[in-house]
Amino acid sequence: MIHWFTHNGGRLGGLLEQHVVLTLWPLAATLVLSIPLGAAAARLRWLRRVLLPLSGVLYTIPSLALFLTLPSLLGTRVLDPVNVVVALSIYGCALMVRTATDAFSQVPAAAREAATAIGYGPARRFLTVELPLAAPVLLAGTRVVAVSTVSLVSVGALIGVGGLGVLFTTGYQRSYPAEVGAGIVTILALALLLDGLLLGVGRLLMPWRRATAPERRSR
Amino acid sequence: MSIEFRDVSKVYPDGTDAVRDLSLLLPSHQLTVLLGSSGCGKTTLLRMVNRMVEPTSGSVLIDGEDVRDRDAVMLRRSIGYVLQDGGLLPHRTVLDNVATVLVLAGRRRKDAREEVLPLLDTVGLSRSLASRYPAQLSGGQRQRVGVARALAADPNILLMDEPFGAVDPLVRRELQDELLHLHETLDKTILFITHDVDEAFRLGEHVVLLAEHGQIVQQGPPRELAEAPATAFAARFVEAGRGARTLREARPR
Repeated sequence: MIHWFTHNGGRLGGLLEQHVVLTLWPLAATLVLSIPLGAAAARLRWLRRVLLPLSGVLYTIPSLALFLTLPSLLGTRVLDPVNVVVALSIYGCALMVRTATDAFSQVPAAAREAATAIGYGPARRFLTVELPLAAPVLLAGTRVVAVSTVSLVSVGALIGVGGLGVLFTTGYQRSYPAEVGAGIVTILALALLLDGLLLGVGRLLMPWRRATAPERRSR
Repeated sequence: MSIEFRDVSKVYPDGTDAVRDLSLLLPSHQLTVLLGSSGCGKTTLLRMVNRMVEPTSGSVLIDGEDVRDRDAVMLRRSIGYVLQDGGLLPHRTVLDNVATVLVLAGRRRKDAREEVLPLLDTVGLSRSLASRYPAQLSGGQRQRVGVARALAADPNILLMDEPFGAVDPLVRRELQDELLHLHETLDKTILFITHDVDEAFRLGEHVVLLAEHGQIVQQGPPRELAEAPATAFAARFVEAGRGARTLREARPR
């Protein structure tokens, strides 16, 4: 396998880049859609009743089936990477809407009330009080979605959009296990790297978590 | 600043009949205690003052001006509010919690921090705690931060919603003494809520005893309520506090 890596560096780089792009777009779309939806669902019971079962159902659609049906729904070409991006955004949201709803539901009512009492307007209260207090749970959800998206992108290779999954299809066709192995290793490394990055960003943005965590444990 | 409740009633959307037709005038610079069991509508009344609750009918006036004519958010910034257990923002340091109101008013964070630092001394907090987070403080310390935050914008009115309910009796006593001292030196109009008779009598210049639905049972200086309860309910309420007191003293160690 090491032999494979030394001889396929260039090709690997290209596939890796495709894979990263195909991961980041859906991840961004997931966050942009799920955070407001989750915040709204935490407040409105009827929305929660619609969204949560819906997200469960969406997640059960097989990914390959979704990749293949989206072109007729979106009017895109079958090989258009947009199909994969949209499909993975749907999966991302299916996971993330529920987590985001939980994240905003667990914001202590006392903190929200205190913010109102001392003169926060609704928008500012959302951005500077509710969002940061929901952030630890949002981050946990984002890490799950990121890792799951990295792995799901590889299915896209079956419909020819590239990414590291190509190593599985070509490796299989050519009966070349080292290539399949290299694909697995690279995808794993990418997932771990992304997860680590998210964890690091979380540490930077949520200093109060670090400051209070050890004390909580000792109590 | 004086606070006046004029024929206020509050029925919540779920049908809870919290306050019925209450009228009450709290003169300027007085420390008034609303005393009553939970569910007597005292928190509802307090929240009408800064428009966190809108009365179903009647009006609340500050210095003769209907609070409904004020922008709710601006009104809240002009009134100090102390909540139970401090009501601090868990993701902000002590100093940032205290500085919040000034930052909301548009002050730069750095300037606001500098400006409120002396308030930590005022409420008896060591400046070394400035960069701690609320979860790293004791209940009493959190409460002090809550008071400091309420004082930050130098409001004329302080609303205190059972602020000392969550701390142990010794610290509670200490905080009560300091509140009395603050009241003497800062001379603000304070509306204080409690269900604790002892606390009401220690702190209040004027005590208003409330029964269910915000019905005023009796009001006056603490001595008057203690010595001449107006009704059987008032007598029972005052007695209940005294009973607990005697029991505490009589219990062998």
